[in-house]
Amino acid sequence: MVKEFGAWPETVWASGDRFGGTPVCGTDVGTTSVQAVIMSDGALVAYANLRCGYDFGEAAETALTRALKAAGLSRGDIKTCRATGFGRRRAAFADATAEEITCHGLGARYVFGPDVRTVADLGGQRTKAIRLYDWDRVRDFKISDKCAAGMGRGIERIANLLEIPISEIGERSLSAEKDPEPASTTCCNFMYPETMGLLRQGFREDEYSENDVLAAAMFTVAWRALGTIGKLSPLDIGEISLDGALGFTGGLAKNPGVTKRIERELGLSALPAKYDPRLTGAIGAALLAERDINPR
Amino acid sequence: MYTAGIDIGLENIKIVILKDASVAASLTAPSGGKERGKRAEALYDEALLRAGVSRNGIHRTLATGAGKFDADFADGNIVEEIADAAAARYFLKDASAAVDIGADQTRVVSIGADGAVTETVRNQKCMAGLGLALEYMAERLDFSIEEISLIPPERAEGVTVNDGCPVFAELDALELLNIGVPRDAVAGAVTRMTVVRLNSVLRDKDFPDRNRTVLTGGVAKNRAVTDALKALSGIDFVIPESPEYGTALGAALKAAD
Amino acid sequence: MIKQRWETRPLEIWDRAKELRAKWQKSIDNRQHLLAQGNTVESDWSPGFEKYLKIVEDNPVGAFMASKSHSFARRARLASEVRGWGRELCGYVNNCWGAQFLGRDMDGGPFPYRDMCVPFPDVCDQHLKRGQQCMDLSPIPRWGGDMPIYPGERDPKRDEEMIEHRVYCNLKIIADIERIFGIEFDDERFVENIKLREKLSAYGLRISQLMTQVPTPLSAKDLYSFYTLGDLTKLNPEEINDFWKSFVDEVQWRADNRIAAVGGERYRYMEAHPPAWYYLKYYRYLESYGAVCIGSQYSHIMSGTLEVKEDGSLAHRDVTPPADKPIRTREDAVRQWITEARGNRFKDDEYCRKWAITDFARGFKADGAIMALWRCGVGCTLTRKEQALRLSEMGLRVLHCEGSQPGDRTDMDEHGFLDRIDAWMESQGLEKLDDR
Repeated sequence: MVKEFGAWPETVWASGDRFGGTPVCGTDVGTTSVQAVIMSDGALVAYANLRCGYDFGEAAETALTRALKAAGLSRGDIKTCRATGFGRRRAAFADATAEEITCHGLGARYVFGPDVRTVADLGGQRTKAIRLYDWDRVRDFKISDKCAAGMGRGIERIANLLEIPISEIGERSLSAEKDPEPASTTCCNFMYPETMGLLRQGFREDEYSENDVLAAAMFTVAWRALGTIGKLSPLDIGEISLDGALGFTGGLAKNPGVTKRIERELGLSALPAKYDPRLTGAIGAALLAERDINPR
Repeated sequence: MYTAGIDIGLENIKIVILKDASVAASLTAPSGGKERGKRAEALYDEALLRAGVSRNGIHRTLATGAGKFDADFADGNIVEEIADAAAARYFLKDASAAVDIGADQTRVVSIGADGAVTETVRNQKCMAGLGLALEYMAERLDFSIEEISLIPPERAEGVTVNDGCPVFAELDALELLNIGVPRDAVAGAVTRMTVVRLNSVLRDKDFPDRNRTVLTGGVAKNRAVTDALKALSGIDFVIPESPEYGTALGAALKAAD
Repeated sequence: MIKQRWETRPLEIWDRAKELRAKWQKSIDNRQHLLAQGNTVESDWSPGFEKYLKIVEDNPVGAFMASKSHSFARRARLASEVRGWGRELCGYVNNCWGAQFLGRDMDGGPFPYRDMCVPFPDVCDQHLKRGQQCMDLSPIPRWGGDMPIYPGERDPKRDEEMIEHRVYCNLKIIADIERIFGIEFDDERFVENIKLREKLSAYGLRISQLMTQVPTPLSAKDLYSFYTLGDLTKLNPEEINDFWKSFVDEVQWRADNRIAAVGGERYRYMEAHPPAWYYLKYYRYLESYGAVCIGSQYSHIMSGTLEVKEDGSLAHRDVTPPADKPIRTREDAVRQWITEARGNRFKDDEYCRKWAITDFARGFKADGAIMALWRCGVGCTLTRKEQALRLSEMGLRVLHCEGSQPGDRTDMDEHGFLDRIDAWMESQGLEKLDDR
């Protein structure tokens, strides 16, 4: 089975700048990926982002090691560490855990700036929608049902079946000639056969290009995300009032095929991210870790 | 006489070249997306080379599978069920049922006394992608597909994942890993889930005969699944070598008609 | 080039049918009427209030949305979902009431909010939930139009009590509407409508009987344009009666002259449900195999309650009361109307109605069947698999297809459906007659 197309690239980064203060660490151990960030005095020092295998603890450990290496730091340099995310309790090196909604809220303000009011976390398995007050607190949140999970994973599978790199899949779906309906609005396990089925010639007039096929799949994911985001603010979905600006986080935040379609349906443009939006949860955890040592 | 069968599946292309009743060559490669027709053609030429015969030497080529219409170099196409029935009779002279479990689809075909298809069953959507699910689960658990094929459901030791929905099953598996369940126990649970789903589709219409049923498809290579399925269903499946080529072989046989 | 086995020609009555439908649409567009959520068959008292009130069914609205605008229907369903209404609810319901939440209808005009609700439950999940979104929105008056049902052998005493109950319910509904809205019920008009319905049911039976012929003069696809015209169009009894008479005459003429709906007819299949309204072109695809759909218990609903006689012919079931019974009071009228104790719905079974799926197959000389497994709504898949097994035993080949629901296009996997059709046809030895 081909696997490399659905495997998005893992990343490591360090600012390279000199930094002051006391380094802390935040890690977000998701179902599909793990991020570890090192922050100091409110600045982002380094991070690592990688795929989870079967051992969440080991994945978190690897993420931290990579981030430290990039920053030129050792474990002993880190004053304290907070873990969040699905597998937070497996991060043995964490001094404390924090739940994901709070971390996403805090992190979002860092990543998107103070205007952000709604955060849509589009992950490998689940979608979370968070509403914030204009100060530092979570006002409301919704998490997707167990049903309709697995959308991010579903896209990995589509990428592998079609043999199109996952990093291109979103952009290409925006060049579709047709504006197809979503391949499903219920389930990612229905999505992939129906998406692949579009390659079959139906009626002669129903020829689908590869971009059209991708469009149908991306639309599915976008539509399911709307099902969760919309619950935050149940007004007319077409004129949904999100009280301010929206930020996308999570793996699918990097997929314009999904994010642009959500924007189109909501009739708005999301806020640009100042940092890789996938780091939002880990940044939030790190900010909490900073508060642990500098309580306000 | 040479004939050829081309099975363009959702995941893989399988090609079989037959010389009378013997397999002269068999090849497989990933299907890919829109280019699967071209890829099938290239694979076909490679298979011809292996079989030592030219395109002109082939009496007839039939395509089958999800991508059958993409093989415009073939002489025609047939539906998978007809190919499955022909293949089953090839492997077992008086076969009365053919079961094929692939990456995406599961089929159960009832075969009449004269070899014609009398009933067909395809999996419902909730059971789509069993083969793919096993592959992805193996990858996640860092097992090769061969390794996971050796882990029986008993290894789960009572731990289970949801057997109604593969999406729930994956979430359950992740949660099990999250609470520290060892990966081979999780693998056993996933295998058990697969077998439970397969057992239910076998009961959709005609229940296959215990002694006259042939099992093909990529998943038929998985010992853990087939042993457990035999035990649960009570059917003593006849499983040929290289079962993934079953449908392609069937198409090649029909090409001789 | 399809080799035609039979002569075909289009129906002449199409234009008149379209006219009637347009008239009905217009008649409810004028905002002078109170609008009621309900079902025209179960609320057959509504012509008694016709000066003041119109029943606007949610099913046809939802089905119409499904066939005309995927994107609007989808948005409507999402609007319903984000307010907590489950995705597994009927697509018709979510289409129609989702539009309510959007505040507009498919043409962009304001949503026709209802003034009252008279939903009726049924042996199916969605009917019980019908109207809930409507009732939830505002405190409008609502009633329950009971449709009691029980499995097992017929119990005449129980039937009698059920009829009593339904008579009482409907009399109360009429009296309440009079009181609450201050409008007067026109009993004469009500009686006129009952008599019209009996006539239409006789016409409907004739159509159904003619469709048992080989070749069938009408296909299910044709029937969809007509089968609701008796319900939706309570405009002018004479006009409706006239229309149906002409319609029957034309179909009779076609039958007498062996004019087929599908020129290549060599395989007849039945169905069980409303079809996928958004993908009716699968009927055309099947015609390329020479296969014609002779309908379902659903599409033959105009004919009323039927049974298949010993000689294989269709006839009205014997519970239909004689039309010449005297009607002196409103109660008499309601009793005349409620002829059937148990719901005459098409949900299965020798016990529920004496027109079991196997009888239907026999009566219409079906060779095969498409049993849709809908995930929600319109009977869901209640007993579909059991029915499929019984048809199988009879010797029919049954095709299953899956989808969300006839009103919800998503998850139909249309190309997958065509794939299954190919497998179903070709594994029965039927190749395409032409290259479609």
